[in-house]
Amino acid sequence: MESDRCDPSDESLVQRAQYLEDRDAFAMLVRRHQGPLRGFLRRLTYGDLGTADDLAQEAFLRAYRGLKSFRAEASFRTWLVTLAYRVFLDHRAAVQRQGVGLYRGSSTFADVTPGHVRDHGGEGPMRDEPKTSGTARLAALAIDLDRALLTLTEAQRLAVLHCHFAGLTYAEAAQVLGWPAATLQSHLRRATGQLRVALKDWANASWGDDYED
Amino acid sequence: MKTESPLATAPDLDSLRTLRDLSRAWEPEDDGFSDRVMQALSTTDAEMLGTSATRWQRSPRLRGAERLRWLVVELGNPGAWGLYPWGVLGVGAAWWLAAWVAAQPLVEAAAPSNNSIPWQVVRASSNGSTVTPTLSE
Repeated sequence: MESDRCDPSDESLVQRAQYLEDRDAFAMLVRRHQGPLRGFLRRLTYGDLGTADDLAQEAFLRAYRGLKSFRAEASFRTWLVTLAYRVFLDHRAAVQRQGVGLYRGSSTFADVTPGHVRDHGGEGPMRDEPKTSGTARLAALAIDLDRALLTLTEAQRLAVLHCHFAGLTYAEAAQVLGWPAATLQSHLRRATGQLRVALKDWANASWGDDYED
Repeated sequence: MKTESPLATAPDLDSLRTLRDLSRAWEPEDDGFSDRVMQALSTTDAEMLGTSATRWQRSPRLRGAERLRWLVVELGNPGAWGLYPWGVLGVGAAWWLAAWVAAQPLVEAAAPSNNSIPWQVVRASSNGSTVTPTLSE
């Protein structure tokens, strides 16, 4: 794409969208950030893909409407994640008020990963399948990771999602979650320990340098 | 196709960086999502404009100040102009007329023609007598 070749920075695109109301600039921001944001929300909603995408769309709409108030004190990505998390909290509160069941997702993301992952279904490295491609092993690890995340407490899960999936710094994540930094780090430490135990089989698994698509 | 793995070596589970790599590796592709967002943005805008446009009809008893404020807001929003083509044309014509009138040289209006001057200055006489302006007939 022509505009992608120039690869303008987020700051530049935000300014164009802010002051010139340049829709194309905002569209470029959406294209750039949709993947991480949707991935983050998919995990927050326990794999409810439809809801996650609706929330991501709402977050982008709020971002566009709130661009004038964006002061660039944090990066655009951080601001977007903050908005998305608030959208998620609003949605969860509304759903709980209505008394209907929360998210209808798969506990893993097998339905969004390649077909051979569904065949495997996760659960550790495939020692009995030496010819399995790196892609399948990576996908299997992703599935196991998602399952391992489900074993964490809500607070531990939120800490991991914000710091390691949304890519926020500890300070930013603590601010978004409204926790003291020490609390966040404590949750992270415990979460890490639990994930290590849950995924210990993968630590010693052989792993190819490259894989074929 | 050979592709570099996001995890080039065995995943180091001692480092949570692995999680980030995994997350990136399985981020959803843009399957038309961004187009849908931009479309939703346009739809929302249109709905807001629609609400604004029908407000006049729904509230015919708006007070004068409120009507003026509404008009200013609408005129300040170029996206709304398409909703009121005759109004915009009328306002545009009024602006053009006002600008045209303002651009006319006002001095010309005051500039006297020989026939319309009601008085003339009498030339000084050569003998040094005082000169006083007198009205001509």
